[in-house]
Amino acid sequence: MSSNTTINRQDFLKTCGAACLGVVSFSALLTSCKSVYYAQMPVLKGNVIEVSRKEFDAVSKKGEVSIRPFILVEMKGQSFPIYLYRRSDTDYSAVLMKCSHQGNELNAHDGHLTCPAHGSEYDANGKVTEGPAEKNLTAYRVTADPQTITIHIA
Amino acid sequence: MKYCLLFCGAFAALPALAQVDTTQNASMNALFGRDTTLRPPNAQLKLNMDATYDRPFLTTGKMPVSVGGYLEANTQYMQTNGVTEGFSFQMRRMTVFLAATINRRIKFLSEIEFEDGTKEINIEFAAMDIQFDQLFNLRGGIIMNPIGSFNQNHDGPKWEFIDRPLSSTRIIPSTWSNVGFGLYGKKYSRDWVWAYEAYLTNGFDDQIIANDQNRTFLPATKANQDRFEESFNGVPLITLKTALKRRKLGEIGLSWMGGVYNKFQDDGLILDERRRVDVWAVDFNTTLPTRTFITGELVWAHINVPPSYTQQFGRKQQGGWIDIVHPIRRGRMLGWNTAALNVALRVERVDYNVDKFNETGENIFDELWSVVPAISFRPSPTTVIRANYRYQWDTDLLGNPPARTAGFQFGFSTYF
Repeated sequence: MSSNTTINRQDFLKTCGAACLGVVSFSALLTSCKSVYYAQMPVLKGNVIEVSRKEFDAVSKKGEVSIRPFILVEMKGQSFPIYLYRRSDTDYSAVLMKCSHQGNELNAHDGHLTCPAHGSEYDANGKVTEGPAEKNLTAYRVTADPQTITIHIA
Repeated sequence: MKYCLLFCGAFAALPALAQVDTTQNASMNALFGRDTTLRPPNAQLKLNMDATYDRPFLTTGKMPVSVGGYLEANTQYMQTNGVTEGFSFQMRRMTVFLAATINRRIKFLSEIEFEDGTKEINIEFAAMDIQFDQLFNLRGGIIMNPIGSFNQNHDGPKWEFIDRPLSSTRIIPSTWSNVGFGLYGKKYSRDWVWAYEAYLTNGFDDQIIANDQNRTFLPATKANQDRFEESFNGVPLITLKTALKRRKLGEIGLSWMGGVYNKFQDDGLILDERRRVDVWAVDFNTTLPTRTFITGELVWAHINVPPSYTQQFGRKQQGGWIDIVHPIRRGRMLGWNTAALNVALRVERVDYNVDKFNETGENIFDELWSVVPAISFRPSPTTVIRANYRYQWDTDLLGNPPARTAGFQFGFSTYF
């Protein structure tokens, strides 16, 4: 038995190289992260929620504007966020991000919603595309004018 | 009397305190039922003694935690080489799910399992997820290592078969959960989904070769209750998985799990070389145009067994299973609108020792084959009533004629 552990030059260089590569990759990954966007200024007016159309504009550091495929709408007191998906400039869909299987909050993707609990999947209209969920999501009627997108809750 | 009146008045006023200032129709109530992001000012901590009752789930009128679970029970009549232990009822497991959204993009998920009544009680999964991006999520806590498909996707109601696949419970030790941290992410396009998972967790211990099975047996490590407290040898188990799915066609996943299983040093003294255990798995599923669903998993394990151990301890193991499920009728049945009647077949194999005897060059057997035809009825996709017939051949180390096991199982499994 021995109590000395040694490391040779080759192993040392390999370890250092892997560590450096890992740190660089991890940093690049973190900086390239584009978090899911929550609408900044949704307004509740009676039975509708109004969202500015500009919420879909994503402005890069260089000033380039791109269109977000979807945004999440969550106001104070709301049980689950609403997934607001942009089909076209005048056509939007909105669904409640509550899994119809066991009520878990869904993860949002471009055109799809997934449940981290049991793997249920839905399309942007809230239709079940993968079980175990059976029922479609709660969907809301959406209207849009040049400035505002209106989600009709009731 | 006045205290009684005061108490009743205060109790009656509680629901009013909890109401949100929205209209009272059902849609608005569904949307503004509870506050997941901000706690109201009046629920802030006042004194230490208030802490027990000042928790989000005890806030009147609000339920920030999703609760669910599944249950599975069955009957069994088996005989081996004509000898039977008779007819049994089995309560395989009851699992309770608890999930909550703690804050925006911060979720908690958990699964607590009661097996065989309460013979085993395990926290199978209890993790916090933090989403930075769809492709970059952090997960920490007790996680289910993503090796193969079954370990993570083991819920009873999803399967037409009462027994879990043998290679997924005897080579991959499903359900295999460990404490650790890692990353996962998904990338969606119109027809394709790509996913990855990478975790560092506590891992195996030397019970995989020092157990009462007299063979290399990875599930024996689950008897070590300390694995949720400390690593056996201080070396993390690495688990990596990637999966690619084409919508309406199928999915294929590749996964690897590897680490050191022995205690190679203690108090700074070197006791042994680092002995590794590595497990690779391929899993796949597809749905044919006939609506026949095919899913399966293949697994290979390499274990660095000390030379002082005899050849009956496998250095290599392999196995796999394939399930074919065909719906013979779907639609309205017995008053259920989305019912299905399926026929299914599982073929599975486990080889505990993929090797030859040094002395004779002959195959070391220690393996089994099993065929399980099944009929299942699903009143809905989340409930299954299933009947299985199992036929199994277990061959010993030397390749003597196999022990033949056959029998019927009938049971159900349902989410609740």
